[in-house]
Amino acid sequence: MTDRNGFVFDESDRELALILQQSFASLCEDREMDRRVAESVTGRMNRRSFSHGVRRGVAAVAVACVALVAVVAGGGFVASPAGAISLDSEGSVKLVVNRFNTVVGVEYYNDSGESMTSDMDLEGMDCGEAVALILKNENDETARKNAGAGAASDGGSEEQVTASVQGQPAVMDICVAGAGSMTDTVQAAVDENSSRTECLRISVSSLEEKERKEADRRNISYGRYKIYLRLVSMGCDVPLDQVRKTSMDQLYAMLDEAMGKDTEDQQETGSAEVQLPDYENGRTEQASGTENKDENSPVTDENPATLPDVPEGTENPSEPENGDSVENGGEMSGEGNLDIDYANPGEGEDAGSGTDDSAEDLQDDTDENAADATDSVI
Amino acid sequence: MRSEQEVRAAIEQYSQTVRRLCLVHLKNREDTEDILQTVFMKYACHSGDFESPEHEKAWIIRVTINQCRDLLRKLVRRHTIPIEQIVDLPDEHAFQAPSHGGNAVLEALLKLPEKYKVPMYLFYVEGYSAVEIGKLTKRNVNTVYTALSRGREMLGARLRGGEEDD
Repeated sequence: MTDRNGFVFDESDRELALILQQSFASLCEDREMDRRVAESVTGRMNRRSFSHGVRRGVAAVAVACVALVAVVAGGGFVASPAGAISLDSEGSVKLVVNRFNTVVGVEYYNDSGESMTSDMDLEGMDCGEAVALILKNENDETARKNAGAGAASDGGSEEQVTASVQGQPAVMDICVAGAGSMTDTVQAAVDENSSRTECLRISVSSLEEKERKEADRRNISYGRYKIYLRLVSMGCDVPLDQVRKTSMDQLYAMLDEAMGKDTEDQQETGSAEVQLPDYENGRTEQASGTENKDENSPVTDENPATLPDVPEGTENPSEPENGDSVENGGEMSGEGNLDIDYANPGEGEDAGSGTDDSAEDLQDDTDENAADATDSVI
Repeated sequence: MRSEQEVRAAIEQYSQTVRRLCLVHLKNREDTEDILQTVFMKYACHSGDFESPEHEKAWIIRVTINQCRDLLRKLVRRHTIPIEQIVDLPDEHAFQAPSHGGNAVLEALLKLPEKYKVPMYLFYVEGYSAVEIGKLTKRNVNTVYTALSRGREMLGARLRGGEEDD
């Protein structure tokens, strides 16, 4: 006899199985132990289900708390400002930017600033894209103004046409306050959109943290505050409120004027180191007292319209041999530069050396031009 | 987790099987009760479905064998009395051996080495085939056949008065 797998299973095996089964059966009958085990197991089951439920509840609450903290902290981290970009033209607007260069807030300093971003949803946008959008909007606005100004000019009402809309680019000052790549991002946006912002004269600069805090404290845009600081440093007694209300074109004109005066003062004291026009580039250099002008002002000799109107007869700027290039440098060239005798650079160099006679002539002309320029700006 | 009724029914149905396996492995009443609680607690927490009552019984046996081996390993690691010595020790908590002739056979079986007595128990008492024993104990079928043959020979020799050992 074998089992179904071939194991030999004889009669003695049957007897052995029977004996063992009876022995185990008589040994292992223990109802009391079964009862204890049943009570113990069911009791542990109940405790386990309760504690399991409690653990689940605690775990769910813990997960919810962690998720809440993560959302709040993460949201705060994303939304926390890391810098700001101030855009100043006729109005002023400030873009508050987080550490990811994303706009998290927009603030206006005046009604004109609000109109700069009208119908724009800038929050959540990359700061470069936001700046490009504002620049394009301002460019279109300036183009419309220029077109309107041209029509008005044709109609004979020239008095109503201001310097900033005489078909000329408007000043757009972008001032970046904050660490990281914000300035690079903004500069890249400006460069990329240069072909679409031909009606604007854009300058990008940065602001130190200390100045930024002060500007925020005084509730003035960064670009205007920088100009205000420069005006004050040059001795101009300009009220801050006036700086807030004055357009950037006019502020730069005031700055130019102040620089011109500063140059004159230096010349009077003999400290001014007069430089000659850069004949090769067709540009007029400034006296050492105004050497930062190009850096701080977007107004160049390519942008004569931003200059104060100089009455005819006073805009014969330079006779290089007389050293007049100095004051024209201060007034930032303009059409007057066309009169520079680029053919005689050598004479210019002589004039730059500054003789007593030429210095007197220079001073006379400078006084006249400065007075006229002030009248035309303010 | 299974219901309380299912667990009570399983205890009613399989407690003797578990207890017998514990007797084969442990021969100690307290340890047997611990193993019973552990096995049926695992059964209560087991969420899988059993295909048949046989499948359920095989699962119980598999878990019991594993628990007994785990306990023996723990005892060995604790440097307590070896299991071989426990067989010979008078223990008031040990299962009381019956005085009739079946007792001698049972004692002879329990004194067999571990690798023989478990297949012998499963084959003769629980009625499993060698193939099923191979699956339950995770051994090769031929190994089970060998264990059965040698265990039977060894049991016969012990019952005849010899002290033949592996």
